[in-house]
Amino acid sequence: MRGARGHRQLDHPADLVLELWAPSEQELLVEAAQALIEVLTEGAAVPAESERRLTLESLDPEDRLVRWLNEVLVLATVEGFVLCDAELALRPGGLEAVVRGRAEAPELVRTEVKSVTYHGLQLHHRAEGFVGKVTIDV
Amino acid sequence: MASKPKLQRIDEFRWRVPREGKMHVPGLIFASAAMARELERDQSALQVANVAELPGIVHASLAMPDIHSGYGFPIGGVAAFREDGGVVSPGGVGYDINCGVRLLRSEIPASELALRLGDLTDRLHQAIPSGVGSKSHRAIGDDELDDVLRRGARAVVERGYGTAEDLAMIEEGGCIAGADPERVSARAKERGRPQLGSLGSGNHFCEIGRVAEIYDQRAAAAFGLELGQVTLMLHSGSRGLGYQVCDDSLQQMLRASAKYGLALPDRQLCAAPLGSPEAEAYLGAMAAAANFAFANRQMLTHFARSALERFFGRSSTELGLGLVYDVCHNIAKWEHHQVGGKRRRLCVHRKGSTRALGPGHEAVPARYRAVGQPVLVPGDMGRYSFVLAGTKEAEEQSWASCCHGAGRRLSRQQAKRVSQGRPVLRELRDKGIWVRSDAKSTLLEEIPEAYKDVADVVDVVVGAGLGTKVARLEPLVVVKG
Repeated sequence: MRGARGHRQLDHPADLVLELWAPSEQELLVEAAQALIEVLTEGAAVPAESERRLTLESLDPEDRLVRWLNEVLVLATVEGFVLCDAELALRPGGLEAVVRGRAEAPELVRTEVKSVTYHGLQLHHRAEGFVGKVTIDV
Repeated sequence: MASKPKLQRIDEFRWRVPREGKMHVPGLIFASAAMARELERDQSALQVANVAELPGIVHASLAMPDIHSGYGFPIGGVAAFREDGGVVSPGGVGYDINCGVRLLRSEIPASELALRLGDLTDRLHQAIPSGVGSKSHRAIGDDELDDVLRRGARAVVERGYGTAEDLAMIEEGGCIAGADPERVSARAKERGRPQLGSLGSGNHFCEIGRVAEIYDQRAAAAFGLELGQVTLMLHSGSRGLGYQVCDDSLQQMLRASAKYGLALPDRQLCAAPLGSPEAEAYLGAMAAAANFAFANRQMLTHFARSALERFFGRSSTELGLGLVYDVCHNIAKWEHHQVGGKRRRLCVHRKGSTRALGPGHEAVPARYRAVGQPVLVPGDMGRYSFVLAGTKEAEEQSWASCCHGAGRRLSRQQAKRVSQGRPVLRELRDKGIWVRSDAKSTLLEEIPEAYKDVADVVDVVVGAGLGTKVARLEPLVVVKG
């Protein structure tokens, strides 16, 4: 049995698919971010030393999932801020976030990810909570 | 179309995806019978069908024999759209805009490298910035970056990274027209700025090889290739700048698709009508990213030439390190092609495909015009790569397009499972191939058996008439990202 919140990596011919589940949409987005960081860092431990705030605009909940993950990706690969946790406030048309992690840590990034894609994107509200699927171009 | 289409055999090398539902045209996949059976396992034939639903597509949604599942378009997909009523889709280009390959010849006999391959591997590895988030040896400012985005390879050649002769041997002269740096976001520039002149990671590589077999003496002579000669091949793209341009454009195109009422079978196929402000914005930014990639490969070439000059103690000219050709694999471009006996301007998308102009075409460099454009088809790091020549038949059948590589057979995770604990470097060394990568995971993912045999792919394109075999190259030294 899988727990109430989690993720697993599925095989994809060229790349990587993340399957996600969580009791709420916020938790699913945080889980997705942590799963992405796990791919980037190959599972290295990331301490919560620093904090950042960010906001983003989106078209709908599925688009929000992709844009959020791409923010987390750019934060890590361009700014060197590697996330370990986040608090999110979702609103129609976007989100606001406080992210925690290690700043100036580009060395933690060990796998190159080009982007999180819209390909085969899924986000559903089921009786047991939220489930999602995102494909990552690596 | 939601269910997997049934492929219909046309002949030994051609398979039709029948026109159904919202498809405007049928699909046409170049494949052997064995490859067609493999296609039933993944989503790529469905992706060929999905592309056929885009407005203004001409003739057919095409795919090369190295087809595999991609985002929106399949990898190996080719589609041309009418100027009037057609669309441009970032999903038809992909994230690594103008990922491509270039090949250099030399006058160095491979025998000169005997017992020196380890040393050469070290030198190349030091010279070529490679790996995750790799940064160039050289920092550039805003003005220089904008110049690169606008003028491509020429911008860095004029700064000392190569020669004017190099420019003539690059697709489109190393510069896609219509590039607009203003359309490239600040974030994309920030991601790309430190990376101009870096290889990146994954399947990108710098490879020293040797010409192992010549199939066509006349074409090989035109390309300057001789049996036993040392060659250099580079595979890289537009790095973080291109990824970000694609990302930014998807956000704009999703809005545009809704605005123009395009029904999308897959969000990743979001598009905008050619001539619309959104399409112009994307084409301007994409051309800028493509130019960044041309300049990137040009700088990497300079670093590699410098390393070889130091290694041999002779100048690049003395070593004969001339550029054979440089081709784009991921691009959308305005090209002229014959449609129903008339010359038409079309927006040709190639995603994991190589342009393959035939003999006599005006865009083929004069030196090669009698034999056709060089088509570079890299294989995996343990076997071989091919040099082909474009054909008139490719111009007639596939918008002058050919295959781009081997195509993956195993997913990255499967490859890691297969290779975990194996002495991959030693296995390759036993075959006489020296491989260097800073990332162990890259080596495990890139094991030779993770890829299809590129010879099978080449057999199909040659059988279908999309290219002719010129030479086979075998790797000696591979630096992976």
